[in-house]
Amino acid sequence: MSLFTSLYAARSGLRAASSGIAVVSHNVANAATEGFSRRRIVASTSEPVRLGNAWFGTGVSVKGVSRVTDQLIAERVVRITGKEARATSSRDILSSLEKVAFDGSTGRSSADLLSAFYDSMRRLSTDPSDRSLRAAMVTSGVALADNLNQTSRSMTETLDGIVAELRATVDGIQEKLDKIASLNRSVAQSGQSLGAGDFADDRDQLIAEVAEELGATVDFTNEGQATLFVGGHAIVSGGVARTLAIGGTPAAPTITVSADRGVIDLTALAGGRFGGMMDAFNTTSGLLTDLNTFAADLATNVNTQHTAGFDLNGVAGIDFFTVTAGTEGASIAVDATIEADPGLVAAAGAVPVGVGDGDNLALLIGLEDGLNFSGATVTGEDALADIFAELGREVSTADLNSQALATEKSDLAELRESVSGVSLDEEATSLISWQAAYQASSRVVTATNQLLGELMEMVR
Amino acid sequence: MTLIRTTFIGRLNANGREVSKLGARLGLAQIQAASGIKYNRASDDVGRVSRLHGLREHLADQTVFEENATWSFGMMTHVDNALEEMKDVLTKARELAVQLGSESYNDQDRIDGAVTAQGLMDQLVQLGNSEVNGRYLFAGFAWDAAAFDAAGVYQGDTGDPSVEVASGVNAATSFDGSALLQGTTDIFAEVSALVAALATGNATNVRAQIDGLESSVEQIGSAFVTAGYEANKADDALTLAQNLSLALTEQVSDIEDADQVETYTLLAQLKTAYEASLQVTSASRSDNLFSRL
Repeated sequence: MSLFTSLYAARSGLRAASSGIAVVSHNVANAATEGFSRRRIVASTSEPVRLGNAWFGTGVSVKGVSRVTDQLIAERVVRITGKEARATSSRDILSSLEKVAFDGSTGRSSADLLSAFYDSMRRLSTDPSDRSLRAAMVTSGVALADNLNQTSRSMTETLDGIVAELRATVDGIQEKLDKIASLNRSVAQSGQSLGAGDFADDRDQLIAEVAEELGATVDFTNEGQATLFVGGHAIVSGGVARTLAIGGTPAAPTITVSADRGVIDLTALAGGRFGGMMDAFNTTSGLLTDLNTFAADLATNVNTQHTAGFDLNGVAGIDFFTVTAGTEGASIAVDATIEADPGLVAAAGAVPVGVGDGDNLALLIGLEDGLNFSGATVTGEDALADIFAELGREVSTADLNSQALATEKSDLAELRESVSGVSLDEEATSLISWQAAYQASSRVVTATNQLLGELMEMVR
Repeated sequence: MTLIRTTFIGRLNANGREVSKLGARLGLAQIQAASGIKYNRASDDVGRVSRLHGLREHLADQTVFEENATWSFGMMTHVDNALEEMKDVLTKARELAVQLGSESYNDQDRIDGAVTAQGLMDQLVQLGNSEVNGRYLFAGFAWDAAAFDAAGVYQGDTGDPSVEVASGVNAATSFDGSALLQGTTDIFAEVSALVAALATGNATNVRAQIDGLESSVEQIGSAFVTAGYEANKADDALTLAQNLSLALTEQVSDIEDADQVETYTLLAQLKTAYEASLQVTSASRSDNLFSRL
């Protein structure tokens, strides 16, 4: 056993302590970095040497730096992140639509205006020949039609906005998938160095983001490689990222992934913000169809009765509302000639028209309580209430889901933090112990050096 | 109780989440307190959407029903006044027939009496053409022109103008005079016949008109019943609409309006919790070993 062996052992101690302090400073520096997993030195005793019958230690050997993680928790965080993002995204989109469509605070919702339309007819019935009352009825019809147009426009804009955002989202996701594949390669190449953990942290952060965007799930191999799936189809496997694309039509957008065996449609499988946007798209699309049906029924009911009556000139009534098939909500309007001349309102039931003849008006008013909407099953007011209730139900359900999942996500984040997060108290303790180890090793170097010096003096 | 490893960031994040949640709830409570409204969107309470729509529709209807019932009742008051005066005229005509049908009057007296009877006929036609602001009360739908000509021949139409005063209930605003005043007995024809009978100077002819004139008074009696029925309907509808307005307003308010006491209490609680949460977050800033090294 030579003094040099001791010197080498002390040097390995100094090196290990330096590495330990480097890891502590890295941990402390990243204490607030999102997705960072604390690092630990992986060290063991160096290979001992045998002198005679005795084995002597040669110091410490730093094998590498490890990330303190729990892959089960990491996978659960990824899964819950996607679910929470889906509910939140759907809620946010539908909630803003609801704010426009259901303005309960002003009393100017389409349901209020429908009621006002019939009430304007009731007022007109006091004097069906009164032009100002006729004009008021026409104005009420215009206000109702405008409101339906506006609601329909909001829904269409929401749908267009969702499709545009889907495209932007997929472009962003593709970049992230490519990066994840690249980081998977870097992790594989860098072994257990301090930098390898950083690659893994960056990759896991991106995985969390893709999970949030697309509801992807992840599997980690024993070698630390991440495989990303959407509905059981791999979108990143090791160092390879597959290509995503938005397709379909504006009325039915789709998302696909190019796989070895062709193109796979992921539309119904994708979750996360994408899934939430698709949920909101489908709900809005359904509501728009319902609104179109309502507008079509309203026009049909009113027009059928209106054409059965006679206007102030004794001429048979014309269609009160005009609509374009397929876009009834957006296109419904009071006929332009009636809007210009309220005398064309067909209030009378027979010719010659008496100025007080409101027989047809009474039948028009009767439409309010008739089951003549949605396949002759409900009143107009109930048909509108159903539309708004459906929207409200979707918002409310998404909100409840979002809140529940956010709580679950917070709990998991807390759990992940408890395993992988940086405790400043622990790091401070660690710093003290590495500092002490460094000081001690340097004392050993000094002492050994002194002994070697004395040995040299003996030779001189 | 399981103790898990905690970190500074973990604690800070947990505090942050609580502060954020409390902040959101506080914001909502502040909006409620400021606006006084707790129900702004369907998702605030999905189960009540249909009910709220129904209540609002009925409430809006009551406003129109009140207006219409008031209008109908007012018109029936005018009809009632006209009928009252018609009854007086017909009673006078009957009394004239009884008086001049007596043998104690001579033929010339009866011929002179025809002038008085014609005056009553003119009065009756005038009352049949009663109008309010240009609206003839007994002209049916053709209310913009006189209902009867000078001979008492009907010029109007057979429509019965009405307005809706309650859901599915209509009350008259004026009448088809041919049905109301000439239905069973034509009151104008009876008075015209009296005029003609008096002009002959024959007492028997005059006496023959008495039954017809009595029937005319009865005709007016039925008209009173019809107009009274419509007036009562309008009056009842008015009371109903007013009561319903109050009840419906209260029900809408129960759904939409925030309870002020509850809102302010909640606001105070949330404010206290929010401030406490902020203080805890702030205090945890320097709470680690590094600050003591």
